[in-house]
Amino acid sequence: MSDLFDQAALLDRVDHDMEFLAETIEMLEEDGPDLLGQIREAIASRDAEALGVAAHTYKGMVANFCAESTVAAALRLETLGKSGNLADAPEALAALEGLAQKLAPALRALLQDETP
Amino acid sequence: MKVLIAEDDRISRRMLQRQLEKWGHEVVAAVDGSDAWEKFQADDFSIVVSDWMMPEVDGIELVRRIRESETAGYVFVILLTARSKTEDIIVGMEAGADDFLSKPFDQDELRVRLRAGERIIHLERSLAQRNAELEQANQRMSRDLEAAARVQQSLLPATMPDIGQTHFAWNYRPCDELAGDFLNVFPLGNKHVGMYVADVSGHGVAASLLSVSISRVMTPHASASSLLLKADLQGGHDVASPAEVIAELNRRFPMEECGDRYFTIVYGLFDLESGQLRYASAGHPPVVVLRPNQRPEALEVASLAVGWVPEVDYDEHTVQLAPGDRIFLYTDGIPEAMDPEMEQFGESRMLASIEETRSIPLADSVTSLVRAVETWCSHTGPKDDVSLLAMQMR
Repeated sequence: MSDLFDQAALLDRVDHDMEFLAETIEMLEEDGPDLLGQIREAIASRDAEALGVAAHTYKGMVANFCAESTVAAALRLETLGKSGNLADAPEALAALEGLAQKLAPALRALLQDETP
Repeated sequence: MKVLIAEDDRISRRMLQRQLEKWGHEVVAAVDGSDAWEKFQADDFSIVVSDWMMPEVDGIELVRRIRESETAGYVFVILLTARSKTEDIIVGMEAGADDFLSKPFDQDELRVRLRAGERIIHLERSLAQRNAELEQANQRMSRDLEAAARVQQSLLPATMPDIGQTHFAWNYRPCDELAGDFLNVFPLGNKHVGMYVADVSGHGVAASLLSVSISRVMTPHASASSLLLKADLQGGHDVASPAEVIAELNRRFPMEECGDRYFTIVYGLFDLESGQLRYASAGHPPVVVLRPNQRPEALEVASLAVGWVPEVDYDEHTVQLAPGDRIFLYTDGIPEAMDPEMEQFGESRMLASIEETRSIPLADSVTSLVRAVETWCSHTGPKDDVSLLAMQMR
């Protein structure tokens, strides 16, 4: 059981279809790093608008996995981007990266546990 | 239902697509707003589910484009959004969105919102089908009415029987496709010209059918049905007197057998040798006589319309006409035409027009009077048929 996502809600969401869950985890593994890269770059270049857009997209993506804490971390960055104040952005990015790093492996573990 | 989804996050897109397909929808997935707009234009979709925030063409712009486009049927649009503020909802709805769904979507919520959309689409389709059926029926009725109007027009004088010293002009303006008014003028034997103007109560199909029936018995051709000619002992025909004709019409067309419709008529018989006009009227507006150097005179006759009371005797009147005299037979659509203040055109304006145009040709005088009536009620349009038949002795 991971505290990174709501396992029961996620399994309900994919109707316990492990094959489909595997397909979406693969997408997360492919697209997640790219989006995080966009967030990082936006902060580095102090492009608040780009940060807001990328963080919003990231948030929408991880929300599909019922990953509340990662969604909250992405929302914080989206809010910072929209406010234009990026002072706390590096710290918020570090928090998101920490969660993101653990999310995909945790989902893989679930997949392994639940696949007959 | 054919559903277009527009979502730039492929995991959300995939999840949405899978869910919709599980529910039996035919789904086309677009990777962003621009892609969705291209796909939308290339196909027919009943439902669009679109993310709000997308690069370039966002959900709001996509909805606007959909609403501005000409689609065969209604397209139900659901916007996916994390926005829940009232002002956001207003922006979305003003753009043309029908409903909103929060992200990530909840299956049950998506299902019920889609069902609401499907209900609207089904209702719209059913309404469109009914409209198409009504339009077809309307077109069919219009064609029938046009055909009926042509039949009715064919009963009007084809040519003017300018016989001997007579000269005729007429004008006929039905206010609807089919009129309750009708008129005719025709030679009757060698010595007479017959003429009538009639007005069946109401307009439309029932009134016009009755007018056709009446026209058939008001025929100048010798036949069993004609009221205008009577067989004589020598195998020839006598001309029936106007009073006899009107009384016979009253016997043949009682109101209760004519769908509660009645009609007024004035029938005149002009004697080409004596210059006498004999006429009888059934509840019809007075005949107007205009003699050179005199004011026009309305010859008042008190009588009952045809169909009201059985077995009525109608009086017959005689007017001696001289060269230059004009007579006018018309329906109440002329004196009773209303202006926007509900004031009638009236007999006095009618007589004034007849008098003012006394020196111009008869046909122009007739046209001038009808135009004056049309101008009088030009704001509201004529509410009754307008018919006018005029004769001048040369």
